[in-house]
Amino acid sequence: MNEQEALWIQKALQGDDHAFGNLVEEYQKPVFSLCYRMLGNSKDAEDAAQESFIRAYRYLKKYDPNRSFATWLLSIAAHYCIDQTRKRRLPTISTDSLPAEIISDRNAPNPEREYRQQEKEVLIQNLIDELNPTDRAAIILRYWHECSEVEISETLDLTVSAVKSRLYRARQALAKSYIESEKSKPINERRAHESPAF
Amino acid sequence: MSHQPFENWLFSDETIDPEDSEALEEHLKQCEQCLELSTALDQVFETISTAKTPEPSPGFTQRWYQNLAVYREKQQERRIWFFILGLFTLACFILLGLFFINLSNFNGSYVLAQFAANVSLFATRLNNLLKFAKSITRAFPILIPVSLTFGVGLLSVSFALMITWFSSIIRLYQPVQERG
Repeated sequence: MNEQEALWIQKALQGDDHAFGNLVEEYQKPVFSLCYRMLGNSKDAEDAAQESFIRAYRYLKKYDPNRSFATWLLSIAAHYCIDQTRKRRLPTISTDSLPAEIISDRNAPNPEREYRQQEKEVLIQNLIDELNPTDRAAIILRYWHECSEVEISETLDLTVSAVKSRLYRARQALAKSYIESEKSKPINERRAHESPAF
Repeated sequence: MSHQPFENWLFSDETIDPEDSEALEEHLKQCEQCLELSTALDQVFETISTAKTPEPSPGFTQRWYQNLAVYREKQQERRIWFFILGLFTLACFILLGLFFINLSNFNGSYVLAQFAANVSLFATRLNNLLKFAKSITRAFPILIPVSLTFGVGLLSVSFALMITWFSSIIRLYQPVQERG
């Protein structure tokens, strides 16, 4: 934790909302990104990220300065998202990932490549949505937030060996689901660089 | 064909030593199933590593300040409710205390007789009231639907107030909903 952050935390503890506002500004992207990957759409991600910051503000007195603030904050967000995912009884369809909305910027250097990349991202998001909430959080923290296994164990309140086995299981599930989804794709789908005429 | 320990090496996050790595590569050349899994895993991680990071819409911090204000309002409301409930509990304790203090002078037969006298007095008064209502309605039959409407209305209002009171108590014990 840098000095500036420590100062903001100290001021926030003394009741300075703007100091905590600076922390919100600083960490809004990683928190929102985690919530988005966990919940699969922008609206729920926004609500979850806002709620996570409110909770962080509420429990700031319990924060241990010897611990990384980012890990503590991501832990609040991850637990909130895990709870939200468990509360959902029916699977939700991400409106952000509907094909019409992933059509890429036409001015991009290679629109088709861009489109395929986005299509793949949607596919991966769907595969991640199939994982159980804790495995999902572990994968997101490991590969999108580049957290170590120790950091994940601190964030999710798990042992390091539990994190390892969850990551193993999640990777296995992702690979298998990816193969299945590739097999179930329509055969007549045009391959990249293939002429539309054939 | 056995897929172990190759499958473990594929899905484990640990770095494997060069000898094991060579053995894995050899296995992948012969085993289509493991090759398929390895390729799929590579594809998944390639997509993850190149995926764009989703960002919140502009004004996130401003919205947080607004949510903080809402949260504080709810906290304030909650404190007021706790204060009212605290006062109510205190009043109940005081009444109970007074009751127990008076209990030392308790005379069972006297209290029972007084209770019976009160019940009969109440029944007599109620009977008189009903007689009076009957005489009025005989004299003015138009009053029957009016009094019925008034009675039903009064009951409905009382019922609605009771439901509101109960729901307030239930809401008070629920965790604070900071949003909306």
